[in-house]
Amino acid sequence: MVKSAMIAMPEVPVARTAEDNTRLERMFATHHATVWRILRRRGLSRDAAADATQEAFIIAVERLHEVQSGDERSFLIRTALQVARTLGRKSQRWHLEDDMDQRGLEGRNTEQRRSDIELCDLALSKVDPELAEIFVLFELEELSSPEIASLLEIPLGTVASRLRRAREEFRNVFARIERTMHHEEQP
Amino acid sequence: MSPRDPKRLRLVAGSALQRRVLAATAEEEPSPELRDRMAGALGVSAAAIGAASGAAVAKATVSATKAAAGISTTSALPWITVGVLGLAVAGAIFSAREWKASVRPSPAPAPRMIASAPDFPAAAIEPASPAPVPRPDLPDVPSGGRARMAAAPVDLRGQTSLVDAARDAVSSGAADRALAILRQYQDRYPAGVFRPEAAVLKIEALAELGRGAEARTLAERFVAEYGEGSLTDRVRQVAGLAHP
Repeated sequence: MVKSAMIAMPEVPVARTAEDNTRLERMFATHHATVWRILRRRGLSRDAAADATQEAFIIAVERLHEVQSGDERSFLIRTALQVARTLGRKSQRWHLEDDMDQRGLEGRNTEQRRSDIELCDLALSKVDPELAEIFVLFELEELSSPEIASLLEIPLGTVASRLRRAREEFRNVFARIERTMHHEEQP
Repeated sequence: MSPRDPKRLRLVAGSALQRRVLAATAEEEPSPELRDRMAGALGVSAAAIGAASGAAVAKATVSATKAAAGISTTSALPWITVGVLGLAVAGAIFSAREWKASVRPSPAPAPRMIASAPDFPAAAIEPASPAPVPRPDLPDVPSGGRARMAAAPVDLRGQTSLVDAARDAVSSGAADRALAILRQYQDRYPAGVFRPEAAVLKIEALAELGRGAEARTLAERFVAEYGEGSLTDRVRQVAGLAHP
């Protein structure tokens, strides 16, 4: 297992063999949405998350030979988290879309889903970032606790306690938002 | 999933809305345009993109199956229509009210919908020289459905912007500035959704300024008000309160 993915952006992707290309394509096909989602949950806009996803994959290209078969997802997630950290908190804001007033033009389901996602991101933005990281990996990306422990290189017990606190914080914040919504719904 | 892992909240969360929100977020995908852009920059072929689409469909199918196995979501929450949810998520209804309140000279106190955060004593929030405080952008007074939707983000954006700005100020050691921002939050959103978080930041800022007695007093109020929880743990740690 590759222990850490240092951020060192190449100017251009390095030359690859046909075998490397095939492997990269498979990795992209399987994991790009996961990487993009994890970056989105760090508060990045859709575009910014795409840029950061690209960075994570470029790093993967550079270090393709260090990534063991079967460890691709862990490597990419770990790299994505490091990319997010290097971007710094200032660029990681809960992001309300600029086209909110266009929602009525979209389909009902699309509009609802986007609102749901924004609500989730709003609640997550108020959870301690260290806890939110565990929450996203477990609740949204469905990694197991042992997988998270291995990926973040922390004890299993720490994962369990952080997850418990993360769930508690998320539910508390969400419940407050929900009560506000319910209250405003009343005449 | 490890046998010892708890069940995912999206399957067992207390409210239908919470389950639905988590499920929608777990299934979010980049648009085809973004996906193509990423793939193009990496030199990934169209065939791989096709495979990605297949994987996305498979994931969505699995998620839908899981959701179906859980409790019905939308139908279990009749009081939240799609329109209301959209507006509420964006803070449309109460943003309009709070926005109006925020521009009135003497805003009427908003109804208390949640347990209130500890009050902030005036003496505790007087920075020596108030620094300029960022103000969220406020649009023209909205009218009509579409305009109200356009203005909708302002409230939650404003709230989250102030709390984030205060957090950044605390993190960067600008505790005076944090207190000024938090006072603005309190004035503008007397029943704000993030009052507990704001209270924690205030306690941290006071402690940072060496105003330990005030931090401790607020921390004790916070504990009494909110009881046990991770925020309370943080407050205890910052203010040096003993754990029960």
